[in-house]
Amino acid sequence: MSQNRRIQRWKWLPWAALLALVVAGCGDSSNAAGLGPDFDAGAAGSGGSGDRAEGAGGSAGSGAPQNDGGTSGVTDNPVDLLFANPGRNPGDALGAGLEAATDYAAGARACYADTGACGSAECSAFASCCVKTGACCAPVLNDATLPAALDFRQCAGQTADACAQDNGSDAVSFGQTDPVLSGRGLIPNGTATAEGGVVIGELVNLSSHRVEVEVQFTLPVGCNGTCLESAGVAFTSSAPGAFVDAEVGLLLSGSRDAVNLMIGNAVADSFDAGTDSTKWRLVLSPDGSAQVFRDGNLLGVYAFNAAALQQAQLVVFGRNLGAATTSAAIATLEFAMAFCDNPSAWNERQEIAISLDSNPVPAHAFGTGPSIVDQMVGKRMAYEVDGEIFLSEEEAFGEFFLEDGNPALIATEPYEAQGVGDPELVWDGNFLSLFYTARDSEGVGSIGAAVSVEDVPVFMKGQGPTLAPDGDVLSYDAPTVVYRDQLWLLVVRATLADGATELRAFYTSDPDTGWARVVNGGLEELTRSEGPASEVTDPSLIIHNSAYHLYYARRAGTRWSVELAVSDELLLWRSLGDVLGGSSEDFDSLGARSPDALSQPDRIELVYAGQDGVSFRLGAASRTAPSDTAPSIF
Amino acid sequence: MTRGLPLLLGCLVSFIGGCSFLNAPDRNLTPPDGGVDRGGIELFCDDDLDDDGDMAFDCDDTDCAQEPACCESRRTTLSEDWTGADLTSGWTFAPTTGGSWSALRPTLDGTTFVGGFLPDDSPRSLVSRDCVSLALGGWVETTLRTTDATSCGPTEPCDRYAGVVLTVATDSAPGSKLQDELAVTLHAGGLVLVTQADVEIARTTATVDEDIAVEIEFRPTLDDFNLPILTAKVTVDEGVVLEDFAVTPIADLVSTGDCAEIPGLHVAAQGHGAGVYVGPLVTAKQDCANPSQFDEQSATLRAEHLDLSPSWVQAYVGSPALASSRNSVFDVQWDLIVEGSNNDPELEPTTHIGYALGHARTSTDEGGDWRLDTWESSGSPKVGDDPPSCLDGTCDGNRSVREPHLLAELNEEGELRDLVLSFARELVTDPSERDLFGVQIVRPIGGPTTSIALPSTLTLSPDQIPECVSLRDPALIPVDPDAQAGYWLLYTCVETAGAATEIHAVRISRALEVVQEAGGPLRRVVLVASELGPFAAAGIRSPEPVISFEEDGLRLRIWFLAQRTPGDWAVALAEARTHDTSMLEFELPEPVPFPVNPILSNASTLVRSGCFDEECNITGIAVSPRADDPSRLRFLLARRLNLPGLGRSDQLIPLEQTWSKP
Repeated sequence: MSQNRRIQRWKWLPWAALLALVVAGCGDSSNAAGLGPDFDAGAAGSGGSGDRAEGAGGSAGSGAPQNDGGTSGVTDNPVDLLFANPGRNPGDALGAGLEAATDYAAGARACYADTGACGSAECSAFASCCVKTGACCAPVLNDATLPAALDFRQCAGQTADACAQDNGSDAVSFGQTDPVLSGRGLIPNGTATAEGGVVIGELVNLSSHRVEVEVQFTLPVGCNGTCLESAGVAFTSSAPGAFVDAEVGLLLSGSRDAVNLMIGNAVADSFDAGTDSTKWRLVLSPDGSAQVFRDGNLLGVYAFNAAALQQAQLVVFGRNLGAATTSAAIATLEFAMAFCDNPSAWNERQEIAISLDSNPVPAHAFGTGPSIVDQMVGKRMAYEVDGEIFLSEEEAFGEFFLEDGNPALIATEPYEAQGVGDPELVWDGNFLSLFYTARDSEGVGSIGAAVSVEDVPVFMKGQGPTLAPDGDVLSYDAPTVVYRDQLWLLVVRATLADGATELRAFYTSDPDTGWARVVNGGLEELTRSEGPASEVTDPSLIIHNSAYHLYYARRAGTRWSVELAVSDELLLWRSLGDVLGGSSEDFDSLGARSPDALSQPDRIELVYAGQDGVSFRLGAASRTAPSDTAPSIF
Repeated sequence: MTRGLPLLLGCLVSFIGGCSFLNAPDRNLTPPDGGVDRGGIELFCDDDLDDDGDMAFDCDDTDCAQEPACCESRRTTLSEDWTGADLTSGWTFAPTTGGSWSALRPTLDGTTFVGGFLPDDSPRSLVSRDCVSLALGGWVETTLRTTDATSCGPTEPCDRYAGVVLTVATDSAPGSKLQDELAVTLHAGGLVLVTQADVEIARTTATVDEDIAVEIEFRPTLDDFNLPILTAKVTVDEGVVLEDFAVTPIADLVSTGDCAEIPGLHVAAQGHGAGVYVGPLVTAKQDCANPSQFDEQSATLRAEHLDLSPSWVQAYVGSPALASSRNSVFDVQWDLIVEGSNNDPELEPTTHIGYALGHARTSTDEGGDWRLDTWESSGSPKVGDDPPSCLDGTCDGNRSVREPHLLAELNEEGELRDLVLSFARELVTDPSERDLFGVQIVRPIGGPTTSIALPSTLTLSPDQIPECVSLRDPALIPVDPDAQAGYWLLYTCVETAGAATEIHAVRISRALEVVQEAGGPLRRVVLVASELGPFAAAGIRSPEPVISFEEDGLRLRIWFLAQRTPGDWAVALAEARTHDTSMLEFELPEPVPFPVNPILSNASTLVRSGCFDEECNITGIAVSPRADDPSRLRFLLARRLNLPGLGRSDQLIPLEQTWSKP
């Protein structure tokens, strides 16, 4: 029995390895025409058991998901159609049999177990594993942040700045005595009382960028056990002083004949220095891992605080009390940079300003449940104020204006008696749709839908809610919707009869005909909340880099934070935990909730509500995230 | 409002004793067990077990009376009876926007209440301007009363209500309630709701037009991830309506202003509409164990006060070891050993820096602080070379001695019988080997002017401990009151070139030899960073143990340095108890981390005061019971300050705490 289990447990590995082999690398993830879903329009419906039902405004069904015996719902849903990027031909890999489905589910589970597994080559077929692993990074080209290469030996006699400028960068010296460039390389020229060296290039964001530094040291000659000869390269977050705060870097210690890996200004590990021809490579990933290679051989992987190095400066530094002809030096440096998907690395974060006729509208800054959409010619943001939904247009990042002071949608129907809220804007290329929470006189929530066919949006509601509670569900709210390839995908919060809440996913080819529920997946368990001390709500689903990114808000006590889960097929989820929390200052000092994400080329934008202990105010954040680097095929 | 008056009076009374406004702990005001049990110790106070078999579980056992989980001793931090002429000096009337308002203060049955939260277009509250400390435990008490249940039932929330709120906020938005970490609210019809984030946690009902007593009790504890959290118990009219509720991580409490030393929350009286009132409001903090607070002493030491020669301490002095004893004239004698160097330790990643040890001694009057100008020393190192370090290759043969620890062995009169010195000694077996240390123990060590000639072999070499490449920060614990059976030697086990993550112990005989077990040293793992919590995530080192032997068992407390992130060293505490002292020869009781670690962070004012550019660090800590008052522990905190320009300075800051059983 146990042996069988063991065999099953590892069956995914060859499958995943095979997938990795067929991965062609960083390819084009654009959706080819004709590869969209191929199920009958109008066939969506109640989704409690995955069955398809008919009828406009259908309920989501009441059947509770059943355990599927190991396939985790792969065989219970049209998974090949649900993949975030159907252009990757996932059906080829999934096959048709139960065994293939089981292997796929086991593979996903194993890959999603931890960051290390997900970032490994065996898991590279999963687009979800591009997130927060340092994988699928996009090279930074034609960027002068750091020079591609510096051979200081070729700059003998020059200043460090001149040498850097010849290589398309710049360098600023520090220390009591200027560094010396000789045939040995750059001699930092620090003393016993003060570090010397140069600051090279511009600020680097190590929380979003992977940086590879290749360095060749020139070892000091005749250095005994107490000589003061060192040369190093490191990133620092503060201006160099008497001592460089080497947050992460390599330092050659002549007296020890060793190269130290410096992390947090302390020696994290130490390696034999080798010779002048030894090549050292330090690979810094935004997930906070530092890999050290010597002549191509991995010596170790270490943790460093990448999140604290959003504005890191590269320094070459050291101390040299000996003669220049025998000193420790940096001979060559090479850099390669790439930006990666680190979901915690928000590099813009500001309060949203909303104006009407160029005048601020203070009450709208406290709007709730924001939703942002890109209509290609401009972006719009919807939000709720006092049970009504307003629509604004973007002027600049974090700045929006209202055409007029009128709401875009108000409660008019009996099922909207307590107002409308939680707006969700969706642009399908032709029309602007607005999904929302409608609450009846008892507070029961259902999901409403409206559509505008006008350039200046005028929303027309459908006949009744598009999703109404039924069976074990008492209420639905907080919809998030994605449209792609004629397929509509919906995630909502469901409040159950036992008081618990959970997020549930649905799909349809036509919202007017009802929704089918994604069953036997992992979303419900991941987001289920049963006690009053915590809460999960406000999902926001996007497709980015061939994976589903589901942001949602979690309350623990009084504090809100935004979490992220990712999935290739809307069924099996990889939880990444907090990605946006309190900033310790300003409008979102204590927390953040109500996220709504927007996938942009090589970028993700987010509108949300920041918590400062007094109120919630609308805010905007953005970060770099490659959008076209996931494996192009399964 | 009469916030802190009892504290002030307490300090005035004990002014002669050098009381500071900090709350020093006194953990054993109540005798363990009150003489009713079988002589054991309740080992853990929150494990639902009767560890010592005296039929008293956890907090019911008086052994636990002074522990944070059980302490009932209170010190008032805020007392408000609402009779003051001007409430605005102590309270913020929230919301502060949307128009000013004032509260009614009716007298009901002789007690003044605050209420009438009008106009009723918004919830309104009086938020304490002061933060009340709760992180180490505390209480909030008040009385609620509804006088008009019109149109409000006893089981449904009503739009007229009033209650007490604990909050991190100092204001609210018009139309909104305060952000409530915890709130107890009486609705007009008699419903009492306990809420967090305005979500119901518990409920009960109360009688209309009668005083309803409310008490909220806060206790610190550790959650499943070893994170310190604050739990609450809510009692309404003597009935418990909520218990062991996890309120918030202690890291999320207010830690500024009045709560800079002990984090806490603002307390508020909040209501909506008329007819429901909040009576006198009193908050208190635990007045028992408080290892995170110290009585600061005035005589901060620097190398020049110790009369140590600049030739070997001009760049650095730190890692102190301290011992206290009585001398023949019944004064108190202090022995201090420090490590020092003529080169900056910050150069270590670049090159080898040498260290030596120096010894200084002074005497003080009973109960007194030491003076700065009375220290006697030899000037030159007691152990090691002078200079210990050189960067020009002239002293390549020097080897460092570092991280001293002193164990004072006293007679019944408290006079010094022996000083046992342990320290880390750089290996000399291979001239090319550097950065690798073993442990040397020496006894006796003589006076400050007596040099120590090092024996040829280490007491404990890393060769004897397979897990460790280097042994640092030694410290000794006697296994019996007179150390006749020897010692446990605690040390930091260095496994790689990075930060150490484990503290181990080896048994040492009275003859200072390693006790063997199964072909190797009798050794135990004492503390492991990964098991302690996030405060120790990046490593631990430098144990400083203090052990007390009592009739009913022993208590071992180990202060140590821990870092959350590299370089961020802080002081932490772990404690262990056992009633079977005879086992100490073979086993060390398992230390449990204090619920609110670290007890002294790198960001505290003790470390940052006078620091330039916030780049100051804790470099060591020494702990010793005072020979003239064993209930007082003297700490010597070593910190290294970054000065404007290129300079750095080292200070040894004396601190004290009261522990009646150190």
